Amino acid sequence: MLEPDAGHATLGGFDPPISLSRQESALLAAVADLLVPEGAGFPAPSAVGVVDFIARYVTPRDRPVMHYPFAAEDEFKRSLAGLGRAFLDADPSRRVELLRRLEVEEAAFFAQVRDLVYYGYYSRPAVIQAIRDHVEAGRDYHGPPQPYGYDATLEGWDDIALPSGRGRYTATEDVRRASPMP
Amino acid sequence: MPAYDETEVLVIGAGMGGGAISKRLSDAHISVVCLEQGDWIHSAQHPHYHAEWEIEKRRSWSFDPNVRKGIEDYPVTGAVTPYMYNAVGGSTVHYAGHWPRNRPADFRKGTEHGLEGTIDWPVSYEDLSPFYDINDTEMGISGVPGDSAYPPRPGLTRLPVIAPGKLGRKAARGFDSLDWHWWPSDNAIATSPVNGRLPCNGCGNCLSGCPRGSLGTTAVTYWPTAVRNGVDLRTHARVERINAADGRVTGATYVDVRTGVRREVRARIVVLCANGIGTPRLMLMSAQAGHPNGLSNSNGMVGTHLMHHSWAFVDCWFDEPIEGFKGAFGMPLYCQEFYETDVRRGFVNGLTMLVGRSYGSAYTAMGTHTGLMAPWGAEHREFFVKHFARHMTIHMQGEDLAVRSNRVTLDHGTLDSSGLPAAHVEYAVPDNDRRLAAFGIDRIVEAAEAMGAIETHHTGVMSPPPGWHLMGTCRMGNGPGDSVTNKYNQTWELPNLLIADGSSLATGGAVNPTSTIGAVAVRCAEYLKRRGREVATQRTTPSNQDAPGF
Repeated sequence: MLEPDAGHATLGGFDPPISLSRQESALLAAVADLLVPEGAGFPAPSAVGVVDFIARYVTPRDRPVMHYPFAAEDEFKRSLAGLGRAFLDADPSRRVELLRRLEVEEAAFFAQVRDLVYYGYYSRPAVIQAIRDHVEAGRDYHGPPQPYGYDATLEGWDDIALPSGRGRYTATEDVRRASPMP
Repeated sequence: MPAYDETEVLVIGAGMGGGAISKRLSDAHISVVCLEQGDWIHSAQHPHYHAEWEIEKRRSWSFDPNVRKGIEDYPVTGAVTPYMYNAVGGSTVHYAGHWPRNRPADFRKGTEHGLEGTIDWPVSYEDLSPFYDINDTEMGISGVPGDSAYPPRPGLTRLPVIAPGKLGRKAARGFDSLDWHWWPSDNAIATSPVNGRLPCNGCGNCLSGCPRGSLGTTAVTYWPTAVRNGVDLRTHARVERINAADGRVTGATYVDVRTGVRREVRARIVVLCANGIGTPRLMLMSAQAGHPNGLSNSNGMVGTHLMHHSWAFVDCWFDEPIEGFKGAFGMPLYCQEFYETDVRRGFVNGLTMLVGRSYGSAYTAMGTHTGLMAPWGAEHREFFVKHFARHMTIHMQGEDLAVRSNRVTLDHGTLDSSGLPAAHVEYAVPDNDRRLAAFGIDRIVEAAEAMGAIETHHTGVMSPPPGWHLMGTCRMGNGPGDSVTNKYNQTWELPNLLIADGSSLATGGAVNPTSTIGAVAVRCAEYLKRRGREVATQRTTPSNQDAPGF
């Protein structure tokens, strides 16, 4: 007997998440902070739990890799180890250089990390708050669509006149052969 | 316990078509069993309350069954991104709810040009119009009556229109400056309470379904009443074969996707509503003695003439906030300035511009609809601030020709969780449609500039286009030489096997098809109500002229 939700991805990722060593966490934090630098009122990814988010969306080694971002624990950790201590010991400009090289040489892994950082970072409440506080166009943005919705701050048609009579259609009895045919 | 169950009508699929038919027949006290391979979707399964709602669009709430990979999903291989949902409600479980109708000329494209395999529908706009109205009332449609791009609809009522927000208002003013047509869209979105459904609160995430019941999925419109009426709706019930004997169908055999247990349902009439890919798949999978090429397929038409709509996305950015994250997704407005054929443009048919909203902040970083991804590193923040909530996507939705070689077949090398063959899709964009779509992209860029866009980015003509409209593969037509069913949805070789879903549509117009699928299904149900006795006993399928008619 299969469970009705067999095969489905779990909302929110895997529970429990994969466990990361201290060095793996430090590497992911350092990479994330380079991908999306803090500043202008926005926190660093490492300060808002992006590494924990990543750990929930990498597929644990005892589970089949079925869903986006298709990151398998062992492979993911191997690629991460490739960055290694040297990355952590490097100065900021050298780190950027190493990341650029990773982007070319291990494009699939880099894309997994970048996507997870982007999705993770922009899901964090502290980042949503920073958008509200510091991005003019986002002052009403509240992240998860529910429970609030946006009706309270949404403009209606109000003063805009609908263009009555502007549309035309061909009636059934008026349909003719197109000519000349393109 | 007998080895089978019996009913008057067996409906296969619980989406737009199956929901409408099951409800309307059961209103008339006709016994119905409906087999649906998916489950009911519970409101807690939607991602709207979760911080992770955006990444889940690519996982549990992907449109694509090949990505979701649930046990109820069957694989679809080939040149397609198949967008469908297997659940009570079918693909209406997560769709925009945009609710246009076909126009009168859409039913006469064989007369107008007849290119490739294009035929006239065997029914006219006027024939279908009353059934559009019935279906609209059942589904709960918001909008504003009065668009002169369509025939008058006297007495039409609508729920209050969805609010356009800054985005919709900006688009409307741009179209006005060009003196182009536009109108607020009809949407299957309840903007006031309807039958226990909460009104829409403009959260914008319709494309991951609706935990409030505001989005008009048949799971919240038709099905509650149909179940109350006594319809025997069986979930996790995957049909593996429609059974036939002596020139008629006798019912179907299904397998429970959880247990693998098989069961047969016998019926006097079978109505197939499994969508434009699932329906031909099942017709072909049901090959058996007397039907070596699948059911009602001596003419080889089953699965052919697949249409998706030609497509392009055009992302547009503005130098002021337009807050595309706000408001019911649906579509706030559409433009049909270039809808009907004008051969001076170098192609037949036309297009609708659909003015669409954005999603959230991760969507901005990930490149919106056209892959303009935010750079990483020092430039990331500046990009984000310039692009977030200053964006709209205008969809170029063009009519695509009905081409025989664009088709659905079976892929015996790929199996679903019950060991049944995958559907396989072949689809190539015809040259006519490439010219149409390229023209449409140019016009959208022109409109975007009129709206004040400071940056645009588009996909070009998508090949293949997104497969979220699945049409034409078992079309109704004028005789066994050009179609799979007659005008009353009866398959040409098996009079008591009917088809009523996207595969029935002879042409797709340049509009989203769900309202037309619903109208076709309501009409089919009404015919069975009035003529079911004849349909259940006919030995051959009558021609359109000889059928008893309504």
